[in-house]
Amino acid sequence: MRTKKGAVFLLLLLVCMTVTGCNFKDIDRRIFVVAIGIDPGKVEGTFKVSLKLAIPQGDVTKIDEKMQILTEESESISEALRRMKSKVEKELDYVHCKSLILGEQIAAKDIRHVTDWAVRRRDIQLILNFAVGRPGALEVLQVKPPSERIPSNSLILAMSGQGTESPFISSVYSYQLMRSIYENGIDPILPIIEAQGEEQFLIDKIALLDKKKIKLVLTPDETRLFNLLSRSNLRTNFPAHLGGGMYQYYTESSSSSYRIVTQQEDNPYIRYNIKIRAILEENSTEDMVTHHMLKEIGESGAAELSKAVTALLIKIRDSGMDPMGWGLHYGARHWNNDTEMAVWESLYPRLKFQVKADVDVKYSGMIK
Amino acid sequence: MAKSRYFYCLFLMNTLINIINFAPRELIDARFDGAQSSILVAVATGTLFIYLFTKVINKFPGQGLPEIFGSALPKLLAAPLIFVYAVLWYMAGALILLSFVDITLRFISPDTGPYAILFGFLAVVCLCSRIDSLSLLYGLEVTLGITLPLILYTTVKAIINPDFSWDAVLQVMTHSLHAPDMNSIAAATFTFSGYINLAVFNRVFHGLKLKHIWILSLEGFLVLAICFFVPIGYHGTVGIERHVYTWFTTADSIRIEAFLIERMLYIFYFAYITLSLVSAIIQWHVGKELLLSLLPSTAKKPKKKLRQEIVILVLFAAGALALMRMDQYDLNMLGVFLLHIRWYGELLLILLLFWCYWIVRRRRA
Amino acid sequence: MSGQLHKQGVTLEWIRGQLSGFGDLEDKIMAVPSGEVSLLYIKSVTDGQTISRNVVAPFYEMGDPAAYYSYIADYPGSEEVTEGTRALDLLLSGYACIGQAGRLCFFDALKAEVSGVKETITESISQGPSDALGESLAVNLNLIRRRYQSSSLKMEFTIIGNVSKTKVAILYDESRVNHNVLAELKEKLDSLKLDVLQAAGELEKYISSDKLRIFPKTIVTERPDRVVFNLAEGKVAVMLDTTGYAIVLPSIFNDFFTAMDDKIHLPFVGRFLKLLRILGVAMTLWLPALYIAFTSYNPEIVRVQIALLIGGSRATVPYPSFVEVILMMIMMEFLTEASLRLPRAIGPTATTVGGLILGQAATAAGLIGNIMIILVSVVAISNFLIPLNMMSFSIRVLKYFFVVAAAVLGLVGVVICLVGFTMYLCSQRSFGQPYFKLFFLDTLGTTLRKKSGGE
Repeated sequence: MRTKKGAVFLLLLLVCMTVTGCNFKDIDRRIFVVAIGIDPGKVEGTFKVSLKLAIPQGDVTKIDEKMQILTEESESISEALRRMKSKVEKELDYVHCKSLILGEQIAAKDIRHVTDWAVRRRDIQLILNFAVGRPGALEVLQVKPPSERIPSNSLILAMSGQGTESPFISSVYSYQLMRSIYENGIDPILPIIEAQGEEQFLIDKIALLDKKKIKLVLTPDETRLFNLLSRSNLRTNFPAHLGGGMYQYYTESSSSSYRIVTQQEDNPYIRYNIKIRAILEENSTEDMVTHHMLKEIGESGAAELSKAVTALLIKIRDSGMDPMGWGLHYGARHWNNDTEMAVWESLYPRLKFQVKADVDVKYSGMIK
Repeated sequence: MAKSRYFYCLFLMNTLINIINFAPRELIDARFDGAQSSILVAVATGTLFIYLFTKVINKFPGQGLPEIFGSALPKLLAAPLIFVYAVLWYMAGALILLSFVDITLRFISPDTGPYAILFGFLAVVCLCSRIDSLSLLYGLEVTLGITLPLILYTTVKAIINPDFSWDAVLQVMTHSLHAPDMNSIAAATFTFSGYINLAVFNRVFHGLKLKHIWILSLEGFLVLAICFFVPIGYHGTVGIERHVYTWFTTADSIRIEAFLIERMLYIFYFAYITLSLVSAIIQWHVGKELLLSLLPSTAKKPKKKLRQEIVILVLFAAGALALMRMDQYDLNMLGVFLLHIRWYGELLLILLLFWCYWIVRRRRA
Repeated sequence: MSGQLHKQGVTLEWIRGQLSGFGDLEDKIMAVPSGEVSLLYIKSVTDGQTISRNVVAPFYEMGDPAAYYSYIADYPGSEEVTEGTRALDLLLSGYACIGQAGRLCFFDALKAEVSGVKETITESISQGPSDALGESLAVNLNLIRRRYQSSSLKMEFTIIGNVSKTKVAILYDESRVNHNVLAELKEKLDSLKLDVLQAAGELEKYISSDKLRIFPKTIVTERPDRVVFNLAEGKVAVMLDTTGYAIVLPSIFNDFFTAMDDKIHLPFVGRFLKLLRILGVAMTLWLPALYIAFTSYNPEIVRVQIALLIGGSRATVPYPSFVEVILMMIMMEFLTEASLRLPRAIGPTATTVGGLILGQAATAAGLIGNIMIILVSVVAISNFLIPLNMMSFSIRVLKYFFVVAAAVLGLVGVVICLVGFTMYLCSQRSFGQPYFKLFFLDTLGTTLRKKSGGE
């Protein structure tokens, strides 16, 4: 009786083992695609898909990054990927793909096709960073900073905010892009990555899109202000001029909020409130900083900031896009569901802005 | 003899399970036409159902549905009724399994064959549904102890994410002035139907004491609100309709910054697969017990009982295998269909129980 | 004693006849002028000193056989016997027979080879009592009585084993014990049909009904303080003569993760240690399985940096992860087993050779990934966190189920296995008590708390 049971058990085990064989694919038989770049192909309507592959290396103590870039042109993305399978000996695995770089020419035409593909594919995560590559996606993929040990790690770290906390970078995940493409009352944005030679990239601009393609590119300064408005606790510095001197203060904490005021039909406006707590970081004069001066630096900084922000907001309004989601904000506070968006459309071009900045410089730094 | 606490476990299991598949999909489909009011209606009716059901089943301490029907109804009526209910329970369990096979294939192991996964599920569910009711309740409690913190973590993490679009949520809130819609009510009341498992589990409850039914309705309401609004906050008021498994894509959109695992999806998946396997075990246990009561008695004949159980469970498994042929849309149709049927079934069951109670009391008098 | 049973009037001659051929039989006549007394005993089971001091010396001091006989008969533990079989039993169990004028009296001169109270070996703790149960039942009962001075502590004795005649003591606190458990235990002990019973673990195996079980349902312990602690919780202890271990039942899952120092430590430290143990079990159970799942099925779960590290460490390994894990784990089991059997002096050498040199060489040769080595060590070490050996062995075996499940289905397999074992654990009962629950306090321990609350 007991031996019979044992035999059955062994048989089951054997069956299990045979079942295993077919799906068992070890990690060393896979190549991880860490970044995908998509450019337009030579022929109109085709894609040039580039993959950046990370090759696991034996000795992890050596700083020796091995990476490979595959490129293939085809009329569809999937077809290009399938063809690339026969260019490598291992299975291409997309589950660790962290960034998708759209070539600038693609972004200038239509991003929806690529977005749909990236969200639809089951093995590509929804926390995939989208960005626009300049001059092209391939060039960005080819950048290999000398400090990098894991392929494309620098790109991942920079985009996800785990590494650098640059105020010029804003990351956009694919679910966010998907959300703002389809949502009424908000327009997508994408960060721009510029390849500068072989070893360096620069991420300090944001492209504003009208659901479909790039309409406007913000300058680095505008990008920083945009980030100040769109997220809290942006770590950056802003200038303040006082007398003939120039001061720079570092924002320890920042927050911003807004209200859309439409009580008067003919004079709708948005009131922005920016609150910053700061530390003095740089002083171009030799003057000792006094309490009174600290207050003055804050005031003049606030005035400069609100001027710059107002200019940015007007620029955004004039472009006709809504990257901040004011439309959705408006809709979320009005119950006339059938008409609210139409009302908003007519309001939007006439919108004015009131920016109230409040800079509180708390410390003068280590010296007075 | 089980403590009343286990009743709350059964209830909690159902509220959490409904997030997986059909309920959020139905609610979100109706997000502009009455899902919000349906949730309120569902909370009210769900609480009422719980109250009535527990009241009447308390009159039959230690008795399951077969015993109650057997004592009060003619056999010709009782047997088909029990059979229909057994099939309902079986289908509920099978649908959970099938949904999870689909989810596993999409999110976890695209390379593994669907049948291998289903066989794995069936093995554990069939083996475990033979365990006695009391032990299953212990097991359920342990499972909840493991999964509940993970689910709470996911939920909290989802809500405090700065990229969560509160405007989208508010925008949907402004669409709540609509008449409730039947599909959504059916989907939302499923949250509350955990009590129905007492049909068999009442055998181990002697004198169920329920305090604070309002906690149940509050909990159900919160779960429904979260299950409805959080995906909208992540995928937008319009974009959400393009996602198939709304909650799994939502979990996929959450990043954990400092941990071995970066994607919340896997923690969420782990919690939910554990919970749904246990819930499938419990559903099939109820189904199996109901069917067993229709077969000739096997008291003190463990061998014979084992044979009957094996036949029933093999049939269950075969049914699940047959249902594997359905595609995504068929499965959804069946799920929604079942949500409706289940709601009427619950209503009927409560009425039947009251009738049984009336008969029994009249007989006694 | 075939045929003619000596119901009464057993004589020395009859005994001598029965014991003829016993090489270690002493048969002496002690004589003084006023009469003589016969002395008969088996040397190997009696204590020579006791005999000379308590039996021989008084005779010559008193000088009167009749007075001497009544002195012996009144001695505590002595017995006057008229029945033949009983007389033989007593002689065999270490009594000396004194015969005077046709009367026979048996004097308890049992020699017990007591090795003294030793220190604990298998269940060491950092602070707290270090006495271990010994091999003699009398000493062990003494150890328990000393720690549990209550009149409600009952001891019942029975004998198991047709050949070994092992003395078994059942200990329980009458006022706290669950009487159903006690009745079930007695019934099981009565129905035992054995020839030889030598170890507590053996008895444990016989009284648990389930044949195919993975988890121990009774604690086998060598610590008297654990026995006492459990007695106070209303449990039953079974002790065997000739073995240094006691069995405590009913024991539930949680009991196996309680070390005796938990009581000694500060509350937070104790909790932390317990948490550590649970974490250790989780690690030892899941790590190998998760490694397989992560390397072969679901590399997407860990973050990309870690996935690349694992991939890198496995770059030279020529076989699938499943084989790698099984190979290394078997190797580890070899090591553990080997160091258990080896003399203490060589044990560390084996560990060093096996663990350090083999591991180093295997990775250098590219047969095993670096990460695998870390993993195997963690698995092996965390397994030893479990305070009770029985459970630690169970967990050691159990992890292979998870490994196989992971090899077949990846992460899904691990989850299926987890659910299956949770349910299995919950379905188990130890003498009617639920074996595994979320809140253990529900079942056991309440007796104790109710008692102390009521007082």
